[in-house]
Amino acid sequence: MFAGHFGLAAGVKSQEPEMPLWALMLSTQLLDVLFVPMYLAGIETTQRVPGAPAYGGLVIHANYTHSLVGALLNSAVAGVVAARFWGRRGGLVIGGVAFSHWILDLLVHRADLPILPGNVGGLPTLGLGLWAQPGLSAALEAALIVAGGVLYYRASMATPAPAAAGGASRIYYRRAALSAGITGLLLVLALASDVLGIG
Amino acid sequence: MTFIVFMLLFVGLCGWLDARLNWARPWEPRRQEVR
Repeated sequence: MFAGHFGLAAGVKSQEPEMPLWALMLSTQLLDVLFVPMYLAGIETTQRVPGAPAYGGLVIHANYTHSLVGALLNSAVAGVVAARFWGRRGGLVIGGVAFSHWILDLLVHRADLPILPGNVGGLPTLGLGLWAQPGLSAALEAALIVAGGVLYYRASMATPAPAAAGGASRIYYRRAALSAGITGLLLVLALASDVLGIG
Repeated sequence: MTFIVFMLLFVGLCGWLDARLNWARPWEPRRQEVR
């Protein structure tokens, strides 16, 4: 799941236009961003599922960054930091979007998401395993991309041109359509890279 | 590493395009107003 998180960020942006899209997109990927140094340090690991395709073909032992409690803590920290820039509401939005990563991962991951950091206590690990059916998983991601892209496009076109733009509003709307269209194309490319196992 | 590069690429490009739209950003003056 890479593109689906971005689709969700685009959808949230349509409802929270004061939030910058980069912050929403970065926060949807926060847990994976934190996973990278943990992976490089050998603390968190991945294991290929024999015979599975590249897309969704991993069991991911991200026992700290992707544990339920770890995800809640990381999301809370992200929310507190964001609140300093975008106020209380912005902090809640960023914290919620960051935690949405865990929810979406719960749908697709094989049962590899622990509840406590480090899987302390050996509690059952979580994951509904949609990756075992790549077609369904890709359809879910595509649905998130389409929904997010359409909401984003509609919101960008519905936003009034800045008053200072004056008579240039037609140019503004053309630019809005172009920007939203290119963003939609990038979301589709993200899905393609995801399904092809790039990234 | 590939993930980080891709992630930054998408976040950067989408974020830049979005910022160009100059949507409501009350914490900083609109570009047109600055001119």
